[in-house]
Amino acid sequence: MKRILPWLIVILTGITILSGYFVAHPLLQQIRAIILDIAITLAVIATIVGVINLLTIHSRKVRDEKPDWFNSVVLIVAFAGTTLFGLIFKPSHPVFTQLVASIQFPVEASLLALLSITLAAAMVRAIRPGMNRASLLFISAVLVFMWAATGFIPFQNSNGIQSVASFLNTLQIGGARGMLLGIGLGALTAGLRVLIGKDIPTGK
Amino acid sequence: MSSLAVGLILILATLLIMAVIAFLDRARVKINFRQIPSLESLQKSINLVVEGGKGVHISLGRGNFLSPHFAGSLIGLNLLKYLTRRCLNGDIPPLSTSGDGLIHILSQETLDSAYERSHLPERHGHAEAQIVGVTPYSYIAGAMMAQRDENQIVMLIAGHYGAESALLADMAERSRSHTISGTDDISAQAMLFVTTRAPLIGEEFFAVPAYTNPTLLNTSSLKTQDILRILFAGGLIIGAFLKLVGVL
Amino acid sequence: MTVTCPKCGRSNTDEAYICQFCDAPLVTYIPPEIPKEEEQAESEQQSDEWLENLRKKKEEDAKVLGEDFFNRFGQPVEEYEPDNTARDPDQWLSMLNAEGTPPPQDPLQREGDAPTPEWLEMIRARINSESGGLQSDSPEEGEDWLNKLRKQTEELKPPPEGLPGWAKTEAPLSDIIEEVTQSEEPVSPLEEAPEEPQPLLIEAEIPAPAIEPPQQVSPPPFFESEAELAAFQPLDPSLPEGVDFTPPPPVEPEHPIPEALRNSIPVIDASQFSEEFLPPEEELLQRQDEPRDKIPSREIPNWLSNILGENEAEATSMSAVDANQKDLPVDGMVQPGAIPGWVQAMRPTEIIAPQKSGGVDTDRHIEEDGPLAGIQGTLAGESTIPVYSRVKDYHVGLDVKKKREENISLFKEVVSSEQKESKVPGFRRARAAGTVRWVLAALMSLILIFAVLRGLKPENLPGSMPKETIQLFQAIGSLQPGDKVLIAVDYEPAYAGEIESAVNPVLNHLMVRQADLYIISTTPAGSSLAMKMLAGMSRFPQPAHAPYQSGESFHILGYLPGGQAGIQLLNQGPVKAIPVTPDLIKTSEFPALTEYTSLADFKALLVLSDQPDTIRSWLEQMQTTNGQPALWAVVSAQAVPMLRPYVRSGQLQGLAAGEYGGALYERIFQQPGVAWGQWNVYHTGLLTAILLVLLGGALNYTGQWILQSRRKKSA
Repeated sequence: MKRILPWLIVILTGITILSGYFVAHPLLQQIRAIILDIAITLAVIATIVGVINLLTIHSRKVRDEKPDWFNSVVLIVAFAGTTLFGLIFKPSHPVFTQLVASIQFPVEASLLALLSITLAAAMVRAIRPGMNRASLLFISAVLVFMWAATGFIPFQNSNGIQSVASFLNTLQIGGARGMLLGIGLGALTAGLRVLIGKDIPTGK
Repeated sequence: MSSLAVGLILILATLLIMAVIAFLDRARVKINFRQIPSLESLQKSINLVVEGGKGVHISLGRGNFLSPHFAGSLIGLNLLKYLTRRCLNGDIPPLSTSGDGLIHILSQETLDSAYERSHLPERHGHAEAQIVGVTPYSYIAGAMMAQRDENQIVMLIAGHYGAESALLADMAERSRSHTISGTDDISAQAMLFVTTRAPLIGEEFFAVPAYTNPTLLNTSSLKTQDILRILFAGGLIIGAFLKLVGVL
Repeated sequence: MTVTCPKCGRSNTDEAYICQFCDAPLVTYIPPEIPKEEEQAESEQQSDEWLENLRKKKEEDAKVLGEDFFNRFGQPVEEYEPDNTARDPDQWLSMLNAEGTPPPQDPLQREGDAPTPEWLEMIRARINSESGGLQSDSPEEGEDWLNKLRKQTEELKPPPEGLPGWAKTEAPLSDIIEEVTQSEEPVSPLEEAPEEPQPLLIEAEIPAPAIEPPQQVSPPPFFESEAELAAFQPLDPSLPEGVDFTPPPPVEPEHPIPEALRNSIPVIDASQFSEEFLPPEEELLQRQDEPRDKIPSREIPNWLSNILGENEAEATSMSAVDANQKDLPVDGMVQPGAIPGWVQAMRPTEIIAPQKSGGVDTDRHIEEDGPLAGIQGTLAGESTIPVYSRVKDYHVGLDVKKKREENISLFKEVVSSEQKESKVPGFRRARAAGTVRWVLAALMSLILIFAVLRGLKPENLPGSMPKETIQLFQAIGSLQPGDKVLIAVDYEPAYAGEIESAVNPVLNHLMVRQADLYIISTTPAGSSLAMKMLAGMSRFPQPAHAPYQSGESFHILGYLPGGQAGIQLLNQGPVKAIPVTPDLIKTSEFPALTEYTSLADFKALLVLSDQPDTIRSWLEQMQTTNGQPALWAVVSAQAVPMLRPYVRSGQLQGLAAGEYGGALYERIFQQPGVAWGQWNVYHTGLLTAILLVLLGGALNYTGQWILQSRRKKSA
């Protein structure tokens, strides 16, 4: 019973919201709105729980003096400082904004730059003897579109080149659409399995 | 016909096809699907984990349950359940990292149920399920650190990611871990295709439940996906033809 | 009919020669006379003489006593009228006197036996004559005829040296007789002789009765007094008349082993056995160093132990008693002795059983050496006597094939390796991958820094204009001053550089059109990103419009939680979706915003995102009324392919993507912005990335190919 009740609520809620998409009944819409409000609130609470868990893990790491525990100390101090500063000064305060902007934005931007270097290195390693045709095609496509993005397309004003460019764009669009279709259908069946109560990750 | 009606018809048709296939396959003992090399390497890597005494790290992504991306997180949770059952045979539970609060709670619940099923409720110290970041790049940074610290030999990337997942996959590859990846994001799939050895491309990621837990429902839902895909492909071709001839 | 054992006194069957209880012989075998060749002639001549004399005597006696008297030995004993005098064991001796009394009955003769053979009687008579014909007229007086016989035989010559051991140790006939009559427990005649003065042994051949000069003989024991002795007149040593001591013609001696028993003995052919099974006799004799288990003497009958040796049972070859092997070199080993003639004569006559039809019976050993040489069906001494030797080393191995041997060795290796601790490889960086990344990062950084420091105006700007960018430009151009535009900041801080370079001319255009900007975000950091974005616009001069002030020209509403659910909630109005700003200011206090303000009151919705899914979510969740609000998007370059269909379908009314889109928009707007300043670096970075990937890929391909070639060669 302990495990059945939560999933019964999940099933009923899902059916209500799904039906609210298709049935324009005021009562149903009102209930749907309430449920969505509750869901949003739960999402925020779940985020808070996650943050607490994050702090717990890093605190344990500091306490046990595991490898690189100093990084955990920095994390905890930064979290505490940001929280206190935001509570004391409002998030729209220019200092707060400057603080966040000067730390978070460069860090994440650096990670994205590292990503570009990583991808370039991955492509270099991918060009090796015995590479399969899919890898060859992928690398070729990347290089072509990178070149196209530079603007160095000769005769790009000609109709022929424009037709070829349009065809290449259509190819990538069609491939992406096909994958999105498959992903969408997979997500549909996964959701339906949850709605009928048969795909419960925490169940037997 | 409005899009809502189309959506409703699609949902009902999916349920109907799933029921029919489940009814037709109820007497079958085993249903053979095509081989997916990445999933076969998953089986081997789990055996490697159990025999080698090392750990496995599964990253569940940052899919929000209020978005369509939560389907990928559900697949990741299924994989976590399957992985936990197998790894507990070797007395080494998997490490689960997530970037969303609800996914973190569900992963803890999944581990609890797996321990309870293995009659090891007192062993679960709630340290195997971690939330390592609430933003995409902070989550990737935390997952990279978890992969390096715990010295895992198998890395599973299963869930909703962005292009930043390439950092995690590259980290796993450099740490000589066998990496198996699957996501529902197009750009992430492109990144993971280059950086991992065993990527799950497109709908192969949503076929994981049917391959790891081939119950009647999972196999029938996979077959339903294939049928609907064929129907959609046929419909697109017919629609393009009709538009070409000027009917539409 | 039974025979009583002289030793244990138990009854045995009539045909038994050895007692079944104590292994004592029941028959005293008296070897026949087998004289030598040179002596045999003399003995034959002498025997002929005394035999002839005996025959004459017999004829004479027959004339006197009648034929029937001399033929009584062929008749049953019962027919013979018992005579008191005949029952006396010594009476047969008296029969040899001049009166011609018939020889007494053989004292050794068993009940029911056949009469004493004639040759035996002759022998006894001869002995009696040699001893002086001492006789006793009254057997009832207790004369021991055996003692008499013993004494008579004591004077006989000892046997020659060639006699085998068992024959040497055999007690003389007199002793045998004495033992039979006197001892309470009859002993084997083959037992060792007591340490008393050895009696005279029975010689292998009974010498011919030699006429010796009369000797002073001691009075026989059957004389009780000297008076009787004085009265006794020795007989003339010469043969009495009528007594013919001529030995009878040699009669084939009676075979000691009954015919039935002989036929039952299997003939063993020695040639059937290999050398390994039956080693030659020389080898048997040479096995002196090999440990041998010896049979305890208590398990061997005395007569056998006497044959085999003193208190030991040693495997000997019958050739040791072969008289023909006298020529063997004496090298310190046991030499076979010569078998005397009388022993050879003991060999029973072989009666060959009729051959069975259907095959030759090969299971019959033929003795080659010894007294039983040539006889078929005997037990080989070598086979009966256990020979204890060292156990042969048998090879106990498995007939395994090569594959199994490999598997066995592999299994052993696995088992042995289980105990060896092998270090499991832990975290280890791939050096090659790290080197590539460092090299690429260094080259890219150098080139881009050079491009940044060069500071030239952008070159090679894109010539083609995407339709969606033109649409966006046209849509913004149609705005009226004071139109409300909702801007959704949904990109990550990592993409801030690209998005800001793309959205900068768009915002600039909106400000030129004097639109009221309301900024929301579905990410927690969206407000900060919006502030940074707006603050960055001041880096470039904007003479076309007045600077925008927060709270006047633009308003930051805050964070919209819930993802798609929040977007759905936004359809009810921004005030209801976001009641309070992060500064804790009510959104209803903002100008032009009331509780009844809905999404349709906004002219357009500009979504800034790095993911196509975000745009899709807005497209799917946002409700439009009469085409309002219009949906515009400024996205990252990676999202363009996924959003082009929405543009072509009309769901997305304007789109600008990445650095390229920003540069194009600035070109259209004719206002330099962020994209304009970054275009050279962006363009240089793209070209550098393409060249590095191609060059690095070629180097990696060549290096891997060389490594594989070397590995193949070494393999």
